[in-house]
Amino acid sequence: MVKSGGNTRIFSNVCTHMQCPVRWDGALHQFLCPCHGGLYDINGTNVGGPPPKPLPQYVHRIDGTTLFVQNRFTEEI
Amino acid sequence: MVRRLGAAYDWFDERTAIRSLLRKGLYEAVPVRGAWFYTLGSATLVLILLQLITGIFLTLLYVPSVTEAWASLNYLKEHDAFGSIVRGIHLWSAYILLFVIGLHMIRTFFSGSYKRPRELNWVTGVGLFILVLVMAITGAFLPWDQAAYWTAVVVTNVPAYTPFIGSFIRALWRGADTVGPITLSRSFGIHVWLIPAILFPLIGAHLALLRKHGEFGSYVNYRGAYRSREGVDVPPAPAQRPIEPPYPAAPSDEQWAAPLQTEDFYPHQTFKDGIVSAALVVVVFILAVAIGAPLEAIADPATTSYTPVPEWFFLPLDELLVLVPQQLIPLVLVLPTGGVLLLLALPFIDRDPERNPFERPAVMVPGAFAVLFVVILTLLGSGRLFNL
Repeated sequence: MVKSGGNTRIFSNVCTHMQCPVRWDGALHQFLCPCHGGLYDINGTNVGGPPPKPLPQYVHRIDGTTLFVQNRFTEEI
Repeated sequence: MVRRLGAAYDWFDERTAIRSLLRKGLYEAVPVRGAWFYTLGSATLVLILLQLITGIFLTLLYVPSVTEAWASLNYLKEHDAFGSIVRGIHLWSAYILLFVIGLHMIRTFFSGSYKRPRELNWVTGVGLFILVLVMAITGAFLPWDQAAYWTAVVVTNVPAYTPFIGSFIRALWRGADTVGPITLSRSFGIHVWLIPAILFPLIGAHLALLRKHGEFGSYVNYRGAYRSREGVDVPPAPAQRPIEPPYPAAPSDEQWAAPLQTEDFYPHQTFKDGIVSAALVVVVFILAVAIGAPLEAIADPATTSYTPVPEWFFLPLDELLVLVPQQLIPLVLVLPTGGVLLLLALPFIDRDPERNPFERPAVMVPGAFAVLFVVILTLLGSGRLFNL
């Protein structure tokens, strides 16, 4: 989950290359895939390594202080 | 007593022809020189039989379900020392089998044994190699620990890069869009039933073809080896000397039809086969007891800390996955598929009867580069993963 300004984004941590579990790397300040070294920036854009697409985002809605996340991506993958 | 046993044997022989079967099986002519190289095929067979035996025992307790698979193997690990060793033997004999089958293939390639009339020996051998790889892949999914789960995710995702029907193939293998219960059932069925049902008859065909044409051996056993040497008496053509079956008495290619000198399969070759196979089995037992088969934590699809590390035999493919840039990802499918097709086509492309590896650089050099390519990918992969 990334919050920048008033904009919230919920990313799937499934790498778009081979579906390995992507995690935030504090030192790199990027999302790193441990399998084949795929890198995504804080906006989920694929910026290094073999991933062919940005990280998918979940459809979500914020109601007051409650965050609802739907098991559906904003774009077809 | 001895006479009684002899009479019983006669009784049995009258009904089964066991005597002539044994004679046919044991006293086959094989080439004399280089016989240690010919032990790799029998070693492969022994390791496959070891897989069959330990695999049968593992099915007696393993439960192919996502909730029970890991638990059944964890029970072995915690409470059943003997069962753990059986599982260790299953794993380590699989590892050594993959290695030995590779050596067997390389030996056959460099000795030119795949040439006429043994093309189908080679083709069935390539088929067996692929089937053993499928066994290794599906077997790696079954423990359903972290290593198994993430191996399943990555491996079943590779065919998704097939043009047009990629996601269909992936869904067919997984039984859904994601790896889950059906993936496990399916891989279990493929591993214990589908592939063995094809594998064992194909081994029968491979052995029947071996017996039909006889062991080729290597060029040093043949008249063709003497062609270009000066001051060396060329041995008589097969037509001028007695040839032992199964080598053809009326050869189509007299340089390479029958080895110059043969010996009986038993006891000469069986002795060497026995030594190598026994040594490998001992190594497998030692590794099974000393190291055993690892079982990591149960599969966790939601992990953000686990680093998947592929099985060593996936390393070449895994390194390809790292090296191939995003625009060319289908290459990770094209290269292995192309490699397999080339292997299958090899005896039909390279039809020159010459068997001496030093006299056929057009095949040896690309072959050596292909082997080198796989070895380098493996070394790069292990260097990356284990910081060597």
